[in-house]
Amino acid sequence: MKNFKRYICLALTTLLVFTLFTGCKKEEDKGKDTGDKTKTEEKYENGLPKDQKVVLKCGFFETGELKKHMEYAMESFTKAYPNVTFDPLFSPSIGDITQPRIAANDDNEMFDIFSCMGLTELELVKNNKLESLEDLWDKSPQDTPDKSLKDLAQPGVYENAKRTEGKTYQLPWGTFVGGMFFDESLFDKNGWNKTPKTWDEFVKLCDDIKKTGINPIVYPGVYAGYLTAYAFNPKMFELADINGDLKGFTERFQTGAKPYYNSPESLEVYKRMAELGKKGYFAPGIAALNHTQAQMMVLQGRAAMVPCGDWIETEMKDATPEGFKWGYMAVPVRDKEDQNLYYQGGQTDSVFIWANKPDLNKAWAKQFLLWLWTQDVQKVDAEIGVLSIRKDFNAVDSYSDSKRKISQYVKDMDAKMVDDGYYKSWPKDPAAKQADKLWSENLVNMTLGKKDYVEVLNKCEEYMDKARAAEK
Amino acid sequence: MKKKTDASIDTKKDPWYKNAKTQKKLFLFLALLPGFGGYLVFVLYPNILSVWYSLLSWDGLSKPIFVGLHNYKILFTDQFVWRAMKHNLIIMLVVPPLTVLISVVLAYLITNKHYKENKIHEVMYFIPNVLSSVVVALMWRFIYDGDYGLLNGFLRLFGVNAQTYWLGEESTALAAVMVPMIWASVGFYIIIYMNAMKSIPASLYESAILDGASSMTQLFKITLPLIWGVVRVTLLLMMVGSLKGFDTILVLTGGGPAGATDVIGLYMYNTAFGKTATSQFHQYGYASAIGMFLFVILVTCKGLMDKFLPNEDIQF
Repeated sequence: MKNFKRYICLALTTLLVFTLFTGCKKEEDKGKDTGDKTKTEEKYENGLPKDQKVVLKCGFFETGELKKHMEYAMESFTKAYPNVTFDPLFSPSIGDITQPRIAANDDNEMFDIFSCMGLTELELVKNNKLESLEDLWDKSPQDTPDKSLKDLAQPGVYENAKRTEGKTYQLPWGTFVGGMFFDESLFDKNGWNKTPKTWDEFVKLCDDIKKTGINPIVYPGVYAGYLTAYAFNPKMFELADINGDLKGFTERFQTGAKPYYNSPESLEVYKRMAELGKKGYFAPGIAALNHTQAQMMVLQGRAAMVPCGDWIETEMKDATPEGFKWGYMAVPVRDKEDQNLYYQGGQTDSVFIWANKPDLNKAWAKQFLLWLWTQDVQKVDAEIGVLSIRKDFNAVDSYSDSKRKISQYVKDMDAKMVDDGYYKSWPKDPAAKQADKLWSENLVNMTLGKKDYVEVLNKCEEYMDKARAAEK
Repeated sequence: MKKKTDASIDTKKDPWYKNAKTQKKLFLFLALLPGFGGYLVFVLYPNILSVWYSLLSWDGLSKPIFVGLHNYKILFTDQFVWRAMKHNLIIMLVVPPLTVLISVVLAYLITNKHYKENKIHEVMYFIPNVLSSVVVALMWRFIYDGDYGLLNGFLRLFGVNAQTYWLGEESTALAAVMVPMIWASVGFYIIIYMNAMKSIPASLYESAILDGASSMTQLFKITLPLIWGVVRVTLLLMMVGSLKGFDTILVLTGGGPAGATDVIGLYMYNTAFGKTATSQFHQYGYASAIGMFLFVILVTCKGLMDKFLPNEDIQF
């Protein structure tokens, strides 16, 4: 009896170990041609085989609406190409999930396609982790075979696409816009200027608003970057353009090269913000406000303008009162109308393709990125509040009211988009972090005129000098 | 029946796994394995790894670069570290003593004054403790709001024209974040102290009353000395919490305004994971160095506490 029990235990253990090993399959076997080589493969128009099953692992940034768009894109792609399926993972902190996978250096566990959020492109390119997507600009989306992405892209998108060492590694599929948002009904009621064309006009607008007892501008002091990222950082590019140094400034801005914090453009922009602050154009208590509170002040009519991204309408839709209409403007720092006006814009959650995957996986991943540019998928983007990447977008009615106004504003003002959130590289030394901390802690006081912006920005630049020196 | 003699005793040894001592040790090992294994994998190993990380310059993506003590050199000259430590010291000197004081007094009243509604008091004081720190922080954010906050509204009832943004002013923000920390903790410690007080024999109080001792005398001469061991442990826990914790501050102020509420735990967290426009580049090496510094501070504080607040238990 004892021996019988022993043999049963041994048999069960052997079975358990055996099943563990048979459950594993090499990822490299997936996507490889395992079919009968004597049979001719059937292929799609894109030249890829119909009979080889491919599963694309994806890691996407999640907000409620963006998830809907990606799910639709994946579903429709699989309908068109049944041999390709997806294994998606959505997360609002997808960068925190992707980073450890990259650090683990396991290509099998890594995503085929993944959001760029929170990742440093330069380091990934240096380590040959990313697939170049530069060739896609000459390819066509599946519904427009006679035009390339280059031809279809909105003005400036192809030329200003994020590139590392001259190549595109993240392909945009939509754009977003940042700037000053306001209640158009309130502006119309008071006869305020909705499209100030110069700095003087903007200051006069703030003055007109202040006279009625409403705070001209409110921004969330808890999140330092809202005022600068959405409204005033693009103004540095505007000034650089006026000064004839746009290319040089852009390069320095995107790499943290000297001068960064105390460049002439930066000092001028902070001077203007301090000017607004000293005149009392910013709402009181700003330092304590988060973005929801700041945006609520505009909805309640206690403040006139708030810097934000174009998702503000969707974000605040449940709290928006009857009759409220969102309006948009880019703050002008130019002195003359014939100078260029810049507004903040960027790519909506671009995606990378991991380089160390089977060729068939990568080929299908590229096809999926082209699929995101089709009119059908772009229409779903528009419905969730993303501005189309295509200049021939044929479903403008799908846009919300505010998006239509943004499109119209950009067209009427002939405004140029600049992505001030894109950084090619950044010094890694802790001194760079200290510079950022000093800047973010003093931003509110600099804009209110309570702290000398020159002194603070010079100190930040000193920290950056230490960081740059440590890198050498 | 043949009796077994010494000569006929079976000399064949039992297998090792049948040995009673071995089985006992094996059982203990298996019983401890999950807890100890978890401690090794999720606590000890990452902490040891942090020591290594503190010697690196690493953003989590690119190849780590060994920089030796460079991170520590920066740490000791980093004005933000010392400012954060100053805030931690203030919190440590205010929050634990006030929490203990309020908790002991309330626990004493509930235990020794037999009010009818004692049970209701116990539940009410404990409710904040079941809320998550995020919920507590969000609630107090609304209380402190400058325009519609409860606090300003309460002050206006007394004719004070209050329009203060309690979390937005550098002069009030630190005090403002300490209040919810105390409010959320008091309930938990009331329960602990109540249980400690209930173990004190009633005869001691009866004797004291017969000798003419007042309530305050009973509290300071009987109750506190006899529960001192428990109070000491709770003080230690609160001290560690005030040095390490930052969740309430993260939600309430994010360390602002202008760093007025920045604490060492939050600085470490932002260094490793913080996201502003240019802070998308993480610095795990420097953050680990700050973590090691915090560890040394905590051990030092424990040592000081053992020296100046010895564990003198009084037996009754």
